[in-house]
Amino acid sequence: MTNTVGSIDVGSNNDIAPFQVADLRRVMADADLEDIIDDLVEAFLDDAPVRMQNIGMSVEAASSKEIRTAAHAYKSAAASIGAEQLAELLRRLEVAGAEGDCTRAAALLPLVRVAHDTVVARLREEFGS
Amino acid sequence: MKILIAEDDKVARLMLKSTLESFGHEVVETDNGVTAWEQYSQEHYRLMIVDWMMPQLDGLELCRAVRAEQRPVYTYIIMLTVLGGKGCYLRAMDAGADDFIRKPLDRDELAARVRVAERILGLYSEVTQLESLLPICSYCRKIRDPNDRWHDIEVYISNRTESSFTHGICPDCYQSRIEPQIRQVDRVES
Repeated sequence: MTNTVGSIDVGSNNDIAPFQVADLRRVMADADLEDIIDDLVEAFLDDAPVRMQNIGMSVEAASSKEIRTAAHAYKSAAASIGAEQLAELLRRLEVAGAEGDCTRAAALLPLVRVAHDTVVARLREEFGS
Repeated sequence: MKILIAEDDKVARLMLKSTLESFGHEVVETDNGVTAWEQYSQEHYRLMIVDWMMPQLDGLELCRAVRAEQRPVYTYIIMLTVLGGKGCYLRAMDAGADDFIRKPLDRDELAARVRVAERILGLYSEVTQLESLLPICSYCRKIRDPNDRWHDIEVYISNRTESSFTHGICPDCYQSRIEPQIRQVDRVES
């Protein structure tokens, strides 16, 4: 099943569950890095709002190159903390930028924003701000 | 080993640094290609792990700059990226990278890649040593390896090169060692 925003197909993300803090704990346990989890969350929460703001500005400016760069920059951090849905949406946004499709990027932006807000909110609930 | 890392993403950098430190390595971290280059210019690093996409100076440009220096001691470079595919792999290799790791980082994969880097750098050191100065004991003629172990010269060279030894006697040794023995045998027989 695919999502559409207006008449634009932005792909499916129904098979990827929204972020849970347990995902982060699993990723850190797999990496044997449980002892730096607080530092990692702090680093993520420091960077994520700026990353999201850059994405919003690049979409607003309809600059496909900047969309690609901004989405790519945030994707790495999202994947690193186990936020798979956010990382997948950022990958699609990056592809839209790479293909010069600013309309699809604009359609993806609200989905990216919701996934971003969810991740940030869950991390703040669990670890404080 | 002292490792220089260049990664602009704070989260990825922290994970990379912590993981490498947990393997027992000393890590010098930089958050962009320019700072990494400045650090490399001040000190030699045998292993660098660099992100592909960084502002100002990206991983490919950093690789090219390191290779253009042509320092006598080799620097092994691992490129770190979320990009994939044969095209990206080939571009990284063309720029001078030795290996490639996909993000997000996998601890076991990183450990394996770093072990390979250490192995290759070790072999490189041995080859360089064979091509240059071999520390040799003045008395027993044993040779010291890079790990401070002493080896018989024949064993050392045979184990590290394609060479093997055939045994003969040089004119000086023939004169000083063999001829006296022959003369002694002749005397006994007469």
